[in-house]
Amino acid sequence: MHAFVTVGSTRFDALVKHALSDVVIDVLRTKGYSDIVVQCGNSDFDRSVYTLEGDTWTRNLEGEGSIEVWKFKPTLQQEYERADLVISHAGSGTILDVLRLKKPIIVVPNPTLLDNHQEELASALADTGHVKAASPWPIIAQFLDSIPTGWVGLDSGTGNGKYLPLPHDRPGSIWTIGLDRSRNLLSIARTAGGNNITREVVWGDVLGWQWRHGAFDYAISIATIHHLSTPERRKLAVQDDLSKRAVPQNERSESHGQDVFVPWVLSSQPQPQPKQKGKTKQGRTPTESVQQIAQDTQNVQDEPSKIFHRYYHMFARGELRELVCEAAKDLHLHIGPPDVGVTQGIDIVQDGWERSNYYVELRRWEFR
Amino acid sequence: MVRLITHNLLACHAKGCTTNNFPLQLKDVTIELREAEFNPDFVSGFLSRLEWTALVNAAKELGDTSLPPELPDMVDDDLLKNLHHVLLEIHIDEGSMICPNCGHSYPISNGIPNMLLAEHEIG
Repeated sequence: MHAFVTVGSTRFDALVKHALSDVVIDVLRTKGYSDIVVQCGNSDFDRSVYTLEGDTWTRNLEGEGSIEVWKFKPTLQQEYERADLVISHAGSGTILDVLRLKKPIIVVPNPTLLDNHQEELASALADTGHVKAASPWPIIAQFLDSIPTGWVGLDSGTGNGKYLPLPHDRPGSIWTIGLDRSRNLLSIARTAGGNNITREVVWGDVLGWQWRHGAFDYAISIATIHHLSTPERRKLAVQDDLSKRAVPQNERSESHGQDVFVPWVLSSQPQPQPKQKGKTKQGRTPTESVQQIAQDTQNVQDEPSKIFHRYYHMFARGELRELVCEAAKDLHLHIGPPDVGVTQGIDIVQDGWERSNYYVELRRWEFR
Repeated sequence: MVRLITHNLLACHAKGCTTNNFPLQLKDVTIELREAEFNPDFVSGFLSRLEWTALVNAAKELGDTSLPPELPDMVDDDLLKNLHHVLLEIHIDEGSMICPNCGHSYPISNGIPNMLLAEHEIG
């Protein structure tokens, strides 16, 4: 299959660099995209491994496939038509052209362009499920922006650690510690954000209690608790985070723990796979669905393909908020802002729907 | 990576182990020193939530005796720099962390601590 990467009429060094990186090329080839064409505009990239023929830099990939890089063409329509996947800057023209052809598109807003509304456009179209947007979810970026310098927090289910380097404009002002069950992902997360900065990551279970009391000032949990198979386990995960809040020992009378939970809700209905019934460890109710992710064993042709089973719970509207409230009630926490006669509670700062996901932001408070 | 910033937060969570489960004791560790950018505002902000004695003792076990046994009332720049070094520049690459209460051992390998428990150890 054929993947087309486009940066539009200006330059977008980061997108071109990543699109041509071994990691991305490997992923694309694993997914079946062996021919990769990159329209690079005026972007810089390492040309040393390419052969220049006319206006086009080319490179043959080991085994099958090739990469082709060129700057501009009068029209990209032919490229869109030929492509099975488009990876694009968030230019409105490109997005609309590709959507009209009903081709899948991954949109990467260019953060170096000011006032061109790429981020807003990408977010709006991601909200409606038309595109996949590749930047951190604004709601999480804003939350981490709001965290005061000196706080230490937890990213429960950190995955590849994309939130660990935030906020970008105050590097090193807060430390988010990444927890995940996948050691492979943690080995990526520990260098998330690059710049030779090592992140703190811990291999563990989101249902584990591996922290001293009051260890963290804030916590985020993104696309994680929907993997837990029963309502009890999901509640436990929320309670686990609620009870890890720091209660300050100093003069302030109100504690400052904050949480954001963003479980994923898939925008398309996953297909239940009857043949794997009973294979997952945890029990599940009939309303919950299972998605099967089949993945070819990378680069090993003789081996049969492996199938990975992953569990997804589909959150319904209002369910996340309800889950949080139930979890809080069990911990004898008042729900609402700080109130006379109540010693501790959680305040729901905001909840909603963004980029096809439900989220809820909480503030944990306590009077001493 | 496990650095003392994380060690200062981790506690044993094996079944039934709820008291005296912090701090975990470092055992057979190999360390590597790597420079990290000094952010005095972060260090002074984090200070009030540190478990001071646990940090001082863990630093000593790793051969760093730059921290005073009690947190002084006046925190000067030198102390912040020493704290920065202890919290963020000493990387424990290999070894294990042992619970002082139940003796459970949490291995560290390639800089990643393994806090997973077996099914029968989950409380």
